[in-house]
Amino acid sequence: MLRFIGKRILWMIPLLFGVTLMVFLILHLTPGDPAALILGDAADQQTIEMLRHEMGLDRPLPVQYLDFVWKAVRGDLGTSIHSKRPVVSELRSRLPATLELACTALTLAVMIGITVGIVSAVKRYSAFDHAMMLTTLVFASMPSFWLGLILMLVFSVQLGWLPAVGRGGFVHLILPAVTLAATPAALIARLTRSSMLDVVEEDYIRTAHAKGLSEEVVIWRHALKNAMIPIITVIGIQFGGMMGGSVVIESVFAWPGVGKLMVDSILTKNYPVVQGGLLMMAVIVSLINLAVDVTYGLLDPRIRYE
Amino acid sequence: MDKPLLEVRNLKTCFYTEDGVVPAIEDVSFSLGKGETIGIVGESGSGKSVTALSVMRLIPYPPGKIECGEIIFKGENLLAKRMDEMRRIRGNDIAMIFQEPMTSLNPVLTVGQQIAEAIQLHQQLGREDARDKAVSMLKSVGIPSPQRRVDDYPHQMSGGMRQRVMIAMALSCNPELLIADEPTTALDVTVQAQILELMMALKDDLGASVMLITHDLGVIAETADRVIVMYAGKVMENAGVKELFRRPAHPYTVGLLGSIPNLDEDRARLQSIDGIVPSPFDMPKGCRFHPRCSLAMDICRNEEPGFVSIADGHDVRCWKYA
Ligand SMILES: Nc1ncnc2c1ncn2[C@@H]1O[C@H](COP(=O)(O)OP(=O)(O)OP(=O)(O)O)[C@@H](O)[C@H]1O
Ligand code: SF4
Ligand SMILES: [Mg+2]
Repeated sequence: MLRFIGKRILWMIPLLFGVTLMVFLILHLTPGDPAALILGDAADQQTIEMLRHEMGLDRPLPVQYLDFVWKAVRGDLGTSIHSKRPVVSELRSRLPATLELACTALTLAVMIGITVGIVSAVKRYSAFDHAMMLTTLVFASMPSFWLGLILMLVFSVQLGWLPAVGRGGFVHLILPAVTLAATPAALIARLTRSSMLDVVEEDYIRTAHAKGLSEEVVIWRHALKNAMIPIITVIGIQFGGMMGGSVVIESVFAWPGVGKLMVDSILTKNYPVVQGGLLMMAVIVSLINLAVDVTYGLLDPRIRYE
Repeated sequence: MDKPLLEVRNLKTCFYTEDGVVPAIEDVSFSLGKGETIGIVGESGSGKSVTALSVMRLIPYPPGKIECGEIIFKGENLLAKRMDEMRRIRGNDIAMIFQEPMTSLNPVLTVGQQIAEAIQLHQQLGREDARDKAVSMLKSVGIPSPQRRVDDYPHQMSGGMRQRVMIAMALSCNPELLIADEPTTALDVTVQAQILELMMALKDDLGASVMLITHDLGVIAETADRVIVMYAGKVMENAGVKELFRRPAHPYTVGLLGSIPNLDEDRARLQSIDGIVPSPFDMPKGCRFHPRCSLAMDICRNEEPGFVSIADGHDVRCWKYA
């Protein structure tokens, strides 16, 4: 098991190389000169050239890339062009907000999704089931920023119950977390339902009934653990997706997390922050995938790690 | 004579499918004494499994439903019982072994957990005691080093071993009736005899009765006291095993017996009667067997024969004897 985890972490290295390379190329090949942006319209060409030289932007791209990677390996992601603070500390100060939001949303999505999915499966074709399948279809296909705006409009502008923007206590968390959780919850609910329906057709469920076990024990002990195996994958993917989704949601709700930082940095061509932020996201997503694979093994004894 | 342990009367079970209502079994009656073994034979689709599942009240609803009849077990009609009463009987008084050892055990629970679960439920034993009982059950079904194998998952065992586990599970609460639905069909030929022998030996120790469903008339000859022959959802013949092999009465039974070439090749399944089993949507009028019966008469094509007794404990559904 430890060997498996070690091996998977080693595999992350080429993956991260790819991610950084792509990010680097996109940022550097798109039009817009950070030096010019920083100095504003009034600056003359000479001043801009000087700043470019200072920032190392006049070096050939491969050199700039290798420099970035070499520093990143040692934990140095450069300095933010605007705040002049190290990118690492910028990210570190924003990460808790993003994790708070993503973890709350994930917990919400998993709890609601799995419960709704199980009840829908157990009460298949009931009014509840039909209502839920329709609702989840709507949520699964609704763009999250749109849902966010609607919720904001209803619960903070109209009703004035919840704050619309910013981070603070639990109340600030509700709207962005619900928004971020909606699509994953809907997808998890639909998958849980279909996975449960597959599992309850299995022979071993009949065996469990033949033992005289109650419906509850059959569902929770015999069916759910088997049904969870495909669901775990989707939960992992959704959690990874939330990292990306937080970029949008954090902007909508002015949530001071990594996502908002990234959007702001993209708009101002603050490329060291964008690079560093994406690299961190890639690491987090890889770690989530690893956690998913480890969870598989805990759920399904047939899986052997080697 | 003692009252029978199980008496099934005029049982009818239907499936409500998209294409219409399928009466999977109809007018099924038989009885089974204490310690007796009854064999149920018939081609694929004749309703053997549906009969067994109906007795356990495990017919999936929807689409299935037991329409009418009585299942008298120890003097009480199981069809009149509430589900929670049924659950106390299942796995405790009546246990079942299924055909597919590969899929009948839960892949994510250890075999020990799966055996102990029934014991904990029905015998009010604690965790540790139930586990000890599971180990001793594994030992009694001939699994080597049961102390260790109790923590195995099903995928770590062979098909034969898994079927032993199923037997251990079924017998762990000392049931009075064991229903075995083709318990050896899915196994290696070499293992089949061992499993069957084991099952029958343990059954004798417990004094349990057995309902043994099989395609294999050779198995019936060795193990059963009584046989019912099913065709297209109905019982065609019901007789003591010796009587059935000596004096098979129904043309279908005769055909089945004729399809065992000799005992070395008794694996030959029951398919060598000309023609095919009728579709439940297209049941022939009159005797359900008439399109395949070489003795069919006019009346056979128009009117369904009733059960007639041709000897003590030997009933046949055929116009030839009416
Ligand atoms: N779940 C179901 N849905 C619809 N029809 C069913 C279902 N289960 C059984 N049937 C019907 O009941 C009939 C009898 O099936 P059953 O499984 O009892 O046959 P069997 O004698 O056990 O055959 P086999 O030897 O193949 O196990 C089938 O032909 C089918 O039409
Ligand atoms: S009733 Fe007629 S068709 Fe049916 S088995 Fe008897 S002889 Fe054959
Ligand atoms: Mg069957």
